[in-house]
Amino acid sequence: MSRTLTRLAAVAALSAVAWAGTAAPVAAQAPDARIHLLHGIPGVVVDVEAGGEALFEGFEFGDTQDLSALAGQTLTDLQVKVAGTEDVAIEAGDVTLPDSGNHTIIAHLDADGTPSLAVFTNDTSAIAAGQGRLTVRHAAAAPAVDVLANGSPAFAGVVNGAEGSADLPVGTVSGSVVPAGATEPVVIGPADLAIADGTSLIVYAVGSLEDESLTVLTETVTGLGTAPAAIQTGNSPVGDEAAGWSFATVAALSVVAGAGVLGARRLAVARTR
Amino acid sequence: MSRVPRSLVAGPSPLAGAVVDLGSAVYEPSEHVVEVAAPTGLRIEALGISRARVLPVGVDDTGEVAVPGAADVGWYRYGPDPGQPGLTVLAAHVAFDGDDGVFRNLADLRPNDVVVVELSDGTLQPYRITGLTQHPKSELPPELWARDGAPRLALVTCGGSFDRSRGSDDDNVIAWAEPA
Repeated sequence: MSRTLTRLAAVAALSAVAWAGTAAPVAAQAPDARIHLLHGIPGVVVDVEAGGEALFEGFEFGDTQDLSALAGQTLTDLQVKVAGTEDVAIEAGDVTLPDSGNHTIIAHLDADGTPSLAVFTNDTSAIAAGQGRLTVRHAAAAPAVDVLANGSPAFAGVVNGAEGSADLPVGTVSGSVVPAGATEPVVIGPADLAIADGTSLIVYAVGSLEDESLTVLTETVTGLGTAPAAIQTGNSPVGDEAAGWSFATVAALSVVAGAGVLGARRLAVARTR
Repeated sequence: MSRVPRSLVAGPSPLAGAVVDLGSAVYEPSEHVVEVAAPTGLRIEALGISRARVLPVGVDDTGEVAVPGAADVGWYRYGPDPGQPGLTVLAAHVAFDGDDGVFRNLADLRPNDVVVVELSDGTLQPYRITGLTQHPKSELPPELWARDGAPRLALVTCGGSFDRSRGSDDDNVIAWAEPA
């Protein structure tokens, strides 16, 4: 049995109070929460139960479950068990999911290597045109780290449960993780990270330094971009008859062949891969 | 609530059907490789455009698309590459500093006219015009900035009345196209 599994056998209690404390303030009605659950503990497959019944089984490291449809509901006696066994890895108690906002719950190892659940609220504020958002979260059994972007410190002294975030120009960033205050050894990476327009890329450092299982999970939140304010394509009058065609002409053409236009889909808001 | 022995569990929770498996979030390097097949040229036989140069453009200080001068076409490079999901935007002037712009006669396009985009990898991507629309400049349709759905193309210029006090046209004219 690996060290991780040994630790999993020890019950990690997470109080419902602590959970509620991390939930976003309850907004008005019209719940449109987006809640993902990430499995961030390498080397173990788990079953998740609520109220003594299976919520889902065979949940593998790195996989994501979308719990959005359960927003605002209370999962009673939530337990994470080693798959196919009665070994309780995480005893979460009664858990009320946020009823609004964009959240990621991650089953991960705390700094000491104890399995636990953490709730992160994802920043869905608008991103300027030509930029993407990079968020790095420490969810690994490891001390404080510095996150380097293209070799330079981007986020310093990030501890388990904390995050660093910045909006960056679109392109590719080479990310790596080193012990806080040091430049080596590189414990994760370097890894290319695509910064895409209007997209938030969230990177989780997971696993255990001691078990040499450090690695990363990624998640994206799309549709946060800002459309250009306008398209200015004529600063002087055209030579004759001022663009010489009527809106009626355009409308007629659109009716004839507008299917492709009408079929166009709106920008997805906070849609996640 | 007391623990229910596993053997007595009747089956999945009534809540289980609401949970959607989204698959793996494990870092995959290939998902972070940015392959750009940028448009470099535009041909529109129906308008007598044998080849116009296409330049990648972003936004200017005011947040507006940085459209190049009269002779060139701007590709809004923060949107999809041609052939990628969503809508590729190519914008050019109808008139600029007294000269006719590349898209001087954009409004003459008709459904099924063919537009060919040259790509940086040497390939040609033909499109077929599906329709034209006209919008006040401040009310561009959200579809213009779509990042998902079938790959498609929009050619954008100005139209409507020229407002001499503002030095610009009132409207944008958009020719919509899909891969031919």
